[in-house]
Amino acid sequence: MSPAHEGAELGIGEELVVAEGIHKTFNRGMRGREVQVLRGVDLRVTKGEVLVVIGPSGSGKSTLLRCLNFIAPPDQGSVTFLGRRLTGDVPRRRPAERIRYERELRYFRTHIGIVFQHFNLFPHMTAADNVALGPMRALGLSGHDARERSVEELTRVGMADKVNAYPSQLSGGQKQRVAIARALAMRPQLMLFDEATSALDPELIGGILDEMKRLAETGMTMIVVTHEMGFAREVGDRVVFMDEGRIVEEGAARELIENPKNERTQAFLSAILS
Amino acid sequence: MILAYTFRWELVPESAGVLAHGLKVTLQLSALSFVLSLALGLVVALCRLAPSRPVRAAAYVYTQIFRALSLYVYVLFLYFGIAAVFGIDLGTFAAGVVALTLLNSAYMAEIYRAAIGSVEHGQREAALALGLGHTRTFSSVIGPQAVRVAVPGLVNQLVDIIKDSSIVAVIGVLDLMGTTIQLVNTKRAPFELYTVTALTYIALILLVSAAAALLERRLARHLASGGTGPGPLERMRSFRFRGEAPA
Amino acid sequence: MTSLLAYDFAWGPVLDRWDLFLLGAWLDVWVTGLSFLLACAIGFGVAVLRISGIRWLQGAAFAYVQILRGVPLLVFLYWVYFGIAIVIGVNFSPIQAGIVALTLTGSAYTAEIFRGGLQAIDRGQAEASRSLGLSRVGTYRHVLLPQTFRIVVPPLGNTFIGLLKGATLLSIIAVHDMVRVANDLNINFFTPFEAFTAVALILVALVAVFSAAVSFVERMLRLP
Repeated sequence: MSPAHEGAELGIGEELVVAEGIHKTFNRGMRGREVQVLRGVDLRVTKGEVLVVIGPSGSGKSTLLRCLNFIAPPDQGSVTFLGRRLTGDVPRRRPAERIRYERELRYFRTHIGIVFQHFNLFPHMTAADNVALGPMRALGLSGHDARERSVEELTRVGMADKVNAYPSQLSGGQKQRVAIARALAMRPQLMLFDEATSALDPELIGGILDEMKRLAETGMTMIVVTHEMGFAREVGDRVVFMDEGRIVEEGAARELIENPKNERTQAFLSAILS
Repeated sequence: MILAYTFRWELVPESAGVLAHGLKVTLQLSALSFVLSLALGLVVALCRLAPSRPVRAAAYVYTQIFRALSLYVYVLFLYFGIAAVFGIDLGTFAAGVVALTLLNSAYMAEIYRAAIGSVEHGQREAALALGLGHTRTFSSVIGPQAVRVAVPGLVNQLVDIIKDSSIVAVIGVLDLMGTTIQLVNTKRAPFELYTVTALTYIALILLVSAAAALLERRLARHLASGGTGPGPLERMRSFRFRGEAPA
Repeated sequence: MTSLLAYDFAWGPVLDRWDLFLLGAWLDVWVTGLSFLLACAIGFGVAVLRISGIRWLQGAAFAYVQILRGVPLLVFLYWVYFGIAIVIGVNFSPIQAGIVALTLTGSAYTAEIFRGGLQAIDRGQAEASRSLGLSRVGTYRHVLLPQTFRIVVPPLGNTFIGLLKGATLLSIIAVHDMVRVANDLNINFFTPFEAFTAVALILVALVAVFSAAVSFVERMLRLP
C-alpha cells in the first residue's frame, strides 16, 4: 500500500519543498576533469505555486531538478519535502538505516513526478504499459487498477486512442503527453518539467504548453525549467534565473521578465527574447 | 600431377555411423556448455556492474584471465593439474564442459555488459524517478532492452563453442574429432576421414551462423523501425500486466 | 595442508626450467607473428576480391572465408599435417604445418576485417580525392588506406591474439613450444599443476601485453 496522500493536507501557501545548500559536482571520468554544476543553491516552493527556472545551458537547471527527486543526489545540502528531510549521504554501513533511507527515497520519488526533455518512454512497452508500470510496481496497485488508472490518465492528456501504441509509433508531442500521463498517474504532489518542449518540433510545442497550463490551473505545484518565456510570464508565479550553478535573481514572474534587475539576467533575457 | 596415393573414399560411408555418434557428443557438449555459460556469463556481467568494488574487481580479473587463456591450455590445467591436486577424477566429458563453460562465460559477460551499457541512460533515470527499485528497474526496463542487443553476439558464441569443442578430443572425449582420430589410427586413411570431419564441422557452423544471421536480421529490422513494438522476442513472451494483445 | 590434498606441490622442476618455458613461449610468439603477417597479406587480397565487383571472384572469396572460418583449428591442423601431407607427398615439419594452418585460418578473419575496413570508407572520399586530381593509386595511398588502417588495427590486434592462443595447439603435433615443455615436465616429474599453471600464467601475461599494445596503438590512432 502506498503512503498516498500523507501530507496532502498542506494548505495553499505552505512550503512544499525546500532545498538548502545544494552542491553537485560531476566527475567526467577522465583524469579528474570535474565539473562543479551546482554551487550552493537554496530554493523554496510553496504549495500550488508554479516556479519557472530559466538560464543558459550548463547553468545547472536540469541537475537541480534531478537533485530534488534524488536521481542525481546532491553532494552537499538537503531537500525537505512534505516535512521530510533528506540529504545525499547514503548510510552505507548500517543496514537498518539504509533501509530507512531507501524508504524515504521511495517516498520522494513516488510523490514527485518528472517529465524529461527526451521523454524517456520505455520503448518496449505500449503507452498504457508505460503509464501503468509505476502505479503497479511502485505503488502496489493491482494490475487491473493500474490499467484503469493508466487509461484514465492517457485520456486526460488526449491520448485515449493511442493507448496500445508503442512509442515508436507516436510523434514527439504524443510521446511527451504519454510521459506527462506517466508522471501524473503516480498522483504526485509536485511535478518537475525539465525543458519538456525543447526537443519538440515547433508546431507541437504549443500543445504541450497547454497541457502544462491546464495542470497548473488544477493547483498542481510545478517547477518548470524552460526557455519558453511566454509560458513563464503567463503561467508562472515566480521565476528564478540560474547561471553557472547559482541562483542569480528571483522574483515574481511578470516582474522579473519585464524588469530584470541583475545585469546577467538582463543579458540573458535580451538574448533569448530577441 | 600424378599422386602416389590411392584414395579410399569407401571408408567414409563405412564410418558414418561411428562419426554420427561422435557428432552427437559434439552437439551435447556444445549445447550444454552454451547454456551454462549463458547463465554464468550473466552472473559475471552483473558482478562487473555491482556497486561493491571488490566484487567488480573480482569479476574483472575473471574476464581478463579467461579471455586470455586458450581452451587447450585450460583443459590441460583443469584435467591434469587441478584433478591431480584435488585427487578427483573429473571425467573427460565433464572436464570439457567445465572448461568450455568457464572460458565462454567471460566472453558472454562482455557481451551482456556492452548490451546493458547500450541502453539509453535516460531509461534508468525515468524508471528510478517513478520510484521503481533497482531490481525492478533492471528486470522491467533495462534488461528487456539489453537482451535485444545482446542476442546476436551471444548466438555467435555458439559458433566458437562448437569449434573449440573439437579440442577436448585430445584428452580423449569421443566427440566428432575424437572418433575421427580413433578411426584414423585403425583404418589409416587420414586424408579422407579428416576431410569428411572438416566438412561436417563446416556444415554445422554454417547452419548455426545462418540461423544467427537470420535472427540478427529480424532483430535489426525490428530495431530499425523505431526499436519498439512487439519484436520477435516479445512475441515469444507475454508481459504480465498487459490487459490486451499488442496492437 | 598438503596432507589434506593427495598432492605434493613441487615448484622446483618448473622453476629450474624457466628458460625452456621462455624459449617455448618465444616459439609460440614468432610462429604467431609470421602466420599473422602472412594471413594479413592473403586476407587483404581476398578482401579486395570480395569487393572487386566480379561475380565469380566474389563468390570464390566468399566461399574461402566461410570454409576457413567454419573449420576448427585443430581439425584443420590435422588435415594439413596428416591428411594433405600424405596426399601431395610433401613432408611438412610440424612447425611448417602449424604455420600453414594458422595462416590460412587467420586469413579468413583478416579478409573480413579488411573488407569491413575498405567498405567503411565513404565513397565520397574517393570522389573528392579523384576530383582533386589524384590518381587511383594515389587515392588509395593518401586517402583511403590511412583511414582503413585506423579502422582495421583493433580487430587485427584481436586476431593476432586469437592466433597466439591457437598456436598453443601446435604442441599436439610435437612442436616444441611452451605447452610441450609443460607436458614433458609432467611426464617426467609428475607435476601437472605446477607445469600447466606456469604455461597458463605465461599465456595470460603474453595476451595481457599484446592487448595493452593494441590499446596503445588504438589510442594513438584516435582522432582528436
